[in-house]
Amino acid sequence: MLKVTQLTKTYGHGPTAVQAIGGLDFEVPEGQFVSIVGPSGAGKTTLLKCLCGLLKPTTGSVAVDGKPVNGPPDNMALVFQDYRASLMPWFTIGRNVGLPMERKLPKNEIKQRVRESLESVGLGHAADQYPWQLSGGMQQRVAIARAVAYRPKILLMDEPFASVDAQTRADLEDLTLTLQRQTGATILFVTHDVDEAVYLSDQVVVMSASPSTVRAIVPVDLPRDRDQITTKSEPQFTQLRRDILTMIKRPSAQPVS
Amino acid sequence: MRRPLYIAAEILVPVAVLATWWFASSNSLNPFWPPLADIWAAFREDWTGARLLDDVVPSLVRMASGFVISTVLGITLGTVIGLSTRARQYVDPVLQFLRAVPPPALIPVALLLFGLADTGKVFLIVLGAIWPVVLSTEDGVRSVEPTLKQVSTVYRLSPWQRLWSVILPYASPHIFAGVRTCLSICLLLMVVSEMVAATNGLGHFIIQSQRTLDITAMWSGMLVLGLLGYALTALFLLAQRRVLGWHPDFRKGGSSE
Amino acid sequence: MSVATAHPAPAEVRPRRGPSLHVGVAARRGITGVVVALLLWELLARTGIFSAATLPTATAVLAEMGQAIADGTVFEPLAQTLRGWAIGLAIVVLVAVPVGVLIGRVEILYRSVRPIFEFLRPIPGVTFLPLLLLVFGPTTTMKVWMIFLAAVWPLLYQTYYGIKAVEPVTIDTARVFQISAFDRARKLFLPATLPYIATGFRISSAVALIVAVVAELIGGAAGLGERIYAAQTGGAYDVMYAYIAFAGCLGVVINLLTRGVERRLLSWHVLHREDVA
Repeated sequence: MLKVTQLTKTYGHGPTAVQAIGGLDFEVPEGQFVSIVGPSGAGKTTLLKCLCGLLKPTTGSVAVDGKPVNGPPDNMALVFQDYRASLMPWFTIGRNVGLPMERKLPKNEIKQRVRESLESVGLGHAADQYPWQLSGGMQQRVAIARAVAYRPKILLMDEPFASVDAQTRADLEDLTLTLQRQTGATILFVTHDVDEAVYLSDQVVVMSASPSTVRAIVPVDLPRDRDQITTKSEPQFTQLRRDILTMIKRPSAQPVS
Repeated sequence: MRRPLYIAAEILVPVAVLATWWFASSNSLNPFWPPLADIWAAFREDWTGARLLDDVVPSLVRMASGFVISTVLGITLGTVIGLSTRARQYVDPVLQFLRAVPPPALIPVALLLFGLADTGKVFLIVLGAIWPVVLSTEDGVRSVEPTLKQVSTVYRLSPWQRLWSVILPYASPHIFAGVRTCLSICLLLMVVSEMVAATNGLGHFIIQSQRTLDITAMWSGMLVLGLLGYALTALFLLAQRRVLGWHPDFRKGGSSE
Repeated sequence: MSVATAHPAPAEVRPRRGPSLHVGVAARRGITGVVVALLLWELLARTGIFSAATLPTATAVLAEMGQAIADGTVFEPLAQTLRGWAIGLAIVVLVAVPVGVLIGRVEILYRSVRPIFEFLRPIPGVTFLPLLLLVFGPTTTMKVWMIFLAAVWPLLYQTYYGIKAVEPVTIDTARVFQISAFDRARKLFLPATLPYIATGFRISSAVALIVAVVAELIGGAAGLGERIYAAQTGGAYDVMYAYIAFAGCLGVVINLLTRGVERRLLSWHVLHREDVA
């Protein structure tokens, strides 16, 4: 459903040019949860920005459902890492969640979707509050609710739980999984946390260091029912985790495929 | 438990100062410092009833018109310029110069072009007071948090939504700061222009009293002007707190007043 | 398996430029803007909507300005305005900073004077003009008094905000490390408050200039404002516009200098300003 072809991205011109992405090729089938991991500075955020049309790739293309991406595509949502900066402080939570749908859908439908998505993230009571009244984890949930209410076909998430404490992160991970199973959305999840990537995904795309290419695409064939305790105790989990971490921390010349 | 002490200080000290002034000046023979009691009598006599309508109201109406026009025009101009880097680079030096001309220096110009007419006074006020609004709005519009702009792009908000739901609310603290300066310039120009060339109005009254050496009347006029300034600022702060209640600096107990 | 489709076009809408080129473009456009504004003024004057007397052409005014510089007539009123401005501002600094620090550190003092200050603060400086004119006549003393009464507030309040903005945690840390009160004042409070003081100084110096001109225009004290008024009553409108332009230039220079100082002191510090304009 999402196809990335020979994607490169270079910043600047001439001698000071920096090539962030050296050439990425991968495909994300519909309904799958795919994580993208890689060393720091590997251009993961740049990749996401190219995918949702915020940046134009230098060469290569991105196609959604066969259609090339030239600007922000329909039916794609992005959850940012900096949740504090991504919510509008002057609107209530309810208005924030409903904002992307204003002028596109009738008012009743917006109200309903807002209510449902806030409830699905456990914030059904907070619709009339303001972002500053909520904790960090709750604000990120609002951002997720906003994405969910939008009913995107593809949901991009840019290290969404990096700024949240471990306890909350576990809750948010499970929440995201539940939502994905419920809605059947395709999720592309960027993270630097390999555990998180393996726990959540059906596939993990491992990026190399900058200029980044696809080091490997690792299928995760753990049972689809994930649990923070049991899944992470599985020997399969540990194996996958070790393999991926090795690829990131000790890159060899031979790409593992 | 310092709070009662603070409240006591807030009430008692000003009262003590006023009382000291009252008694220290009660037998004053100095023409410039009449007894506070006399000033108060003059105030009660002069400023209740007819004079209020004759002098203060026309002044306020002129000032209010100038203020409203400056604000609306200023915000519009500032937004247009702020949204376009090009426009800003062309126009900024001229704006900075116009803003740096001390507004009272423009009074002879307005006098020349419009004589004593009311429209002239309003034009003068706008000419002097619009620049802080334009420049602050420009500043605010330019400085919108990039993440919010990205949210607008990804969720495909219409240009109208971008302006009214994102950019202008974000810029509103800056805009209010500019409007506050605009207000004080409006008041200044109103008074000064009336001192220079008018047949009625508060400024005219004060300067006339000075020329005819009616000192108590002069002081009473100054008192009214002081009260006016205080009242207008209080109204402004009230409006600011309502509109900007979502911003951490402007909530009750914030430090931006 | 996938066919590479290279996009040869540059990635961004506008090609990227180096920093020095950026500044050059901005400067060129800025100058163009000024030139266009002057041209518009010239055209407006020549259309005759306003008589040649009331709105002289830009060229006429610029010529007057050049003349005033060439034969030196502008320098005396300029110096007089600056003198009053500088003395007034110096007194403002000498009063506002210590008082601001004092009320910032001693809460009961702040509470005591707050109602009085909050009442006096929004009073336009010109309110006192008639009184001061009576007492001092059209002199520099009157000007300085007016400047003080109007311009003391921005700096005073900014200093206060600056003191208040110092984190209690930092103060406690300094105490725990046995740093003397004097050293605390010098190494903790002073650097922390300096950016606020710079902002306050910028605002106060702008207010001071406006008040100086008012004092000269209406009160008749010597300086640029007085020349503006004299030119207007004398019907020499070219000269009048020229002196207004001089006042504007003075304002620009003061603004640039104080902003430059402020930016230097602010470069490491994130602060929220009382007002941007």
